[in-house]
Amino acid sequence: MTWIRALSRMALLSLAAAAFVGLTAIYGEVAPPQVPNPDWQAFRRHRAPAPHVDEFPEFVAEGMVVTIYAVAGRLLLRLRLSRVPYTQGKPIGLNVATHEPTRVSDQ
Amino acid sequence: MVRNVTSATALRGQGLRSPLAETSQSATSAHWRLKITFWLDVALLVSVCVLQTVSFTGLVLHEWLGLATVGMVLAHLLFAWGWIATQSRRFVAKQSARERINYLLNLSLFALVTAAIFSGIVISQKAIPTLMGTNAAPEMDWRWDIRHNQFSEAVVLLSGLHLAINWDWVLAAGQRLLFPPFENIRERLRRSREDAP
Repeated sequence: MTWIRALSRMALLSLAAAAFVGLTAIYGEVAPPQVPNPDWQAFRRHRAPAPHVDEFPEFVAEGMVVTIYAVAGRLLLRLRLSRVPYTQGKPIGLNVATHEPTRVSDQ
Repeated sequence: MVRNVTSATALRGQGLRSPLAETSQSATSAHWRLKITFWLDVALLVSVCVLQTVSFTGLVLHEWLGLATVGMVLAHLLFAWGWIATQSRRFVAKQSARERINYLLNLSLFALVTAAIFSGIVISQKAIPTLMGTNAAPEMDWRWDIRHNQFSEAVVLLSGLHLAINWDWVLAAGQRLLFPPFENIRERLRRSREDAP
């Protein structure tokens, strides 16, 4: 029974993935083709098949990028979505209307 | 995929129920489930970073790891099936902005991971030709190469946001699995506070 349940869930997920693959294929065909610059083409053509351990800092840098996104997301989601509702907080007066506008007398 | 958990107490409510209330067998299985889920998530996050650094991994490992990600993502989603089913049913009903954004974020992440893997398969030069027993295409399909890059960068961005929104769960699960003595002390303190009049 557990296996049937797991298989049916996997089938549902595969169906959703197939739908996204279809959409991606449509997007790939419809979007105007772009040709990257020659430097990029040369770089992509000559990527080493074997690992290079001396490139490890690149992996660290990528980890830092994910961390930055996570911290930014954390700040954004905390500040924007969990803030105190206006009804609970005390409104902050900006004293915009407390001063009478200065009139320049006509002479 | 997502656990709206803010503390180890809430985490216990999802996966690890109180040993007093549960039999030791079910508590053990819940602990194993948590352990597998946590380490699978860690492996997925590391894979996302590793997959972005082709010069470090090399093209062969990059492509095979990309294919292995299919299985990891599938397992990740199966473990989070309860949340997926509940939130999908509730999406049309009234939900908080946070829950709605969370759901859309996760759906976008799934779509982008699928797109990145699909575009990777299209431009594969090592793994797919080996699996299919064919030769790699002589000329790179630049259109799909560019798309693959775009999808991968978007996956990194959404993975960071996914981590951000689930940070409380990650922290609670990490504390429970990596620092169990601290977790036990916290648990005793919490119980003593609850028992106090």
